[in-house]
Amino acid sequence: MEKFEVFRHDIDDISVLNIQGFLDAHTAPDFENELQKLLQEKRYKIIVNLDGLQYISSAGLGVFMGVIEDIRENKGDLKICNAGEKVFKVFDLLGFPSLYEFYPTEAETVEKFKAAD
Amino acid sequence: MAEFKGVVQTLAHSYTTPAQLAYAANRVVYSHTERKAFISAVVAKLDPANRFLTFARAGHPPIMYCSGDDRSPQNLMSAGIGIGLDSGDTFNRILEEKTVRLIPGASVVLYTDGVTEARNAKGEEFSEERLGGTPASTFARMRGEIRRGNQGTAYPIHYRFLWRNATS
Repeated sequence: MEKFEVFRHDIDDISVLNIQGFLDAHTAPDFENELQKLLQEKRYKIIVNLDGLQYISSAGLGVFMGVIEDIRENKGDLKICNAGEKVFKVFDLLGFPSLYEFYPTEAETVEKFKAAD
Repeated sequence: MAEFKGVVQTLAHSYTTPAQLAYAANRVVYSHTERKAFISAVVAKLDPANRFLTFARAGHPPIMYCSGDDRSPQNLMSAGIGIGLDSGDTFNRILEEKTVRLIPGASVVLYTDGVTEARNAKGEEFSEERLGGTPASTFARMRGEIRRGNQGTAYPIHYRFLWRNATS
């Protein structure tokens, strides 16, 4: 099985999940669990940093869809940053940039959250 | 897949354009599946008498268009998002319908990402780059590699690969 890891750090009321490796049907539950933990803690400003993500399958994409309504109903958002060219292509083909905000860097994404406060 | 095929076959009796059919399919899928489920599809209508192909791409890989001469295949793209990702407002606003006229001898190839993302025993993807050439050569290459399944170099995939040749 390919390796997948999630690292979390918080910047004030913003939580950043840095996901690395292969996000597929086998590893999607790990990512989903981390997102659910944030929702249980009522942290609804979430950044997913894809800097170390090498591969994402449809099961991985489904994790994003599974939580977004809950997040936005609570006046939060999930924004995505640092997608590599190959990974972004998967998101782009499915039209995710019409549904989520993508930014080139984590710092810029944090600024977008803070500017909206 | 089988359920979606049933949805499309049912709706196809009621809608005349690919975009209208896709709008309706999105409404059905969005309201009857869990939020993390979605489907990518190309809905296309071929008018063989006049050689027109009208299509709408809902988050699916592009259609490969081969003109029949020596030029490399072109990707036919149009704006669109996956079916079931949105209740309809964004889906309907973004989905774009396009029509191309096929010249005699041209072919169109529809394929799923099961083709391009298939991995062999070494972990190598089949990849978009290997879809080049004529549809016949691509298909032969894929079939050949699948046949070598017991030698560790095959791409053990579930895929849909459809090509249609326009006659003069």
